[in-house]
Amino acid sequence: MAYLELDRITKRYGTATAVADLSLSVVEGEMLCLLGPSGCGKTTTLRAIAGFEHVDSGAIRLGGVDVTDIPPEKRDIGLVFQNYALFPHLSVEENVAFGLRMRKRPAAEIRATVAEALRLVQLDGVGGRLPRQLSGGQQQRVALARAIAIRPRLLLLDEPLSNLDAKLRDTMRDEIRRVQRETGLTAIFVTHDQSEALAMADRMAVMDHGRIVQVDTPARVYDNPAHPFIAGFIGQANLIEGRVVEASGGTALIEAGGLRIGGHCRAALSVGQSAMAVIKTDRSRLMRGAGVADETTVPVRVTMRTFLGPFVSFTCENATGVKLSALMPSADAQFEAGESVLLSWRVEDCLIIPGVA
Amino acid sequence: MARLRSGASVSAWLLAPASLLLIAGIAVPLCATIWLSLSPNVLVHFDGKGLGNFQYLFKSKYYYGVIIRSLRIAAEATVIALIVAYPVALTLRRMASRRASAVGLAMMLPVLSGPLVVVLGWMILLSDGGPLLAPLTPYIGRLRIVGSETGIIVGIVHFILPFTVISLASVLRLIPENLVEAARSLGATPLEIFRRVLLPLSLPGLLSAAIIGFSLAASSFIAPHYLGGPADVTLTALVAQFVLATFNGEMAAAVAVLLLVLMAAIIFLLSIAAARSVRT
Repeated sequence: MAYLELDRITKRYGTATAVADLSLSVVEGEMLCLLGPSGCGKTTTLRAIAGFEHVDSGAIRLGGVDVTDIPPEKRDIGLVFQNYALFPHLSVEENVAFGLRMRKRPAAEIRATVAEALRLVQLDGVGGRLPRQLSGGQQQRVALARAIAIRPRLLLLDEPLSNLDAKLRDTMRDEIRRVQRETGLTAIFVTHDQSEALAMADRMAVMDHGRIVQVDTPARVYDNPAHPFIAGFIGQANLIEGRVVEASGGTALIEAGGLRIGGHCRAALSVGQSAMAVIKTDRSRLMRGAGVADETTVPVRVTMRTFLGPFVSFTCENATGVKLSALMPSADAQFEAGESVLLSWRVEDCLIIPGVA
Repeated sequence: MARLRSGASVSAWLLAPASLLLIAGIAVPLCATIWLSLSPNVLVHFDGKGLGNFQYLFKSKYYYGVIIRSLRIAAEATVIALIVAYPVALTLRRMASRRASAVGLAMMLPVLSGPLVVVLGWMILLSDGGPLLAPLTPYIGRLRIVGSETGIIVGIVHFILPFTVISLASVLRLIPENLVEAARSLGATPLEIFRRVLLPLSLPGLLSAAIIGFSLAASSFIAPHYLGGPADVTLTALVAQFVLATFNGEMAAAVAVLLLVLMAAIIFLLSIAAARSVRT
């Protein structure tokens, strides 16, 4: 039984459809990520769950109760905003206490709950300060404490890390995850950053154009993108579009730009249909000399070499103009721009998925 | 360095006309008025320069009453204008900025048409047995508004309302919508959002609206003159009386200076409160 259930919700703005017939089930206690590029409808979906957007059709059920027509102030949903939205005129403690005051809790209980929430986000001692006296990371913690202090039935986070600098982002990522685990709250967060989604989510729902394209664990979405859009969006991959020339029981061969590329496939493919070969760049490598058995090799010329510290990224092009990239450990990356080499990958590292119609 | 200096001298030249106009138009007459206000006259006799005129104004029961009435009318009009303006400003806050500025401009139209036209309109509308009061007579009896303090307040409130609305709206628009949403998600009702989020955050705007409203109200002459009765003399009307009826320039100057000092004091207090509300 799903804890939160979105049942075919649709939201239109004028003629534009922000969320299209979207269904999603969230299990109690899990952290689910809505991932997608900007404008894909992920924020609208989150706001619909919070109650700030009224859906045009469909239903939202929380804990088995239809909340579609319940206003946000009665939903008991904790919300962490992208820019924190702390009340600037209230102290940290008063910010965290706000929701409890609205619930008319006794003063002693409020004091205890606020202290506990601040301890949970490791902010004890700054309760008397004003939000503007805190750093961005501390403000984010206050926002989190304020949302969890009401013991919400659901915790929603809108791009919670996007306003933090890179180093703080990793810390807060782990902090949010720890707090969510310790409180046992069911949480949904929205992001456009795939690494955030991969690192934080129990399951991720990848969205595009108002629809969910794939829902699965981060590892499975990463390894088995169900759609060319996800293959292009998650991880860095070589995407080669072509047509199926052979298909039998789990393997397929496609022809693309004069190349014949073999790989494994999950969906049933038929000969002649458009398909796409997906090869992660970190599974591709460059080499000199002859090809190796069980590997697909393509003669290419290195057009660009980018040093990334532990890795070197190579951008290459073959004789027919197909662009391919390889990400190699710096130690093995003794190739120069302009050099003619072979780019190869193991056949089992190539996934063939149905193309976009 | 040379370029910097020439830039400074250019800006000095650009400021010159406005500065001259300010000195000639405000500083000189103001000094003359203060000088005059300290001088003896047919009503009050003393030697040399002194504060005799002011003592006379405060000692006289009639003039003291005028002072109190002026401040009371200005304060009442300001408070009413703020109460009426706040919901309008809240509505403007939720409008798209282009529509909001169109509404703001529309509200300024009566001001742009001049206070005399507006006050004459009120005189017709609110006259005894006029279009507004005649239909109400069976219910509320014969109510006299024109020629009373109520009339003055109606006129002043109407005149200062657009200024208070715009002043409030400019501050309310700065409050991010997601603070309201955060409060809602935490369970706040609209009333609690107003009381705990919008009102405290708009306090600086409320005080600056009060400053603008009060200074316009206390210095207004046309509304008290046309909508007030003989018993409702205000400080501005008193200045006019001394100038036009008794030709006593010294007393007129004394009343004008008194009005200026009282306004400055009240505005100063409100500014301190505004500054404090910004800080916390």
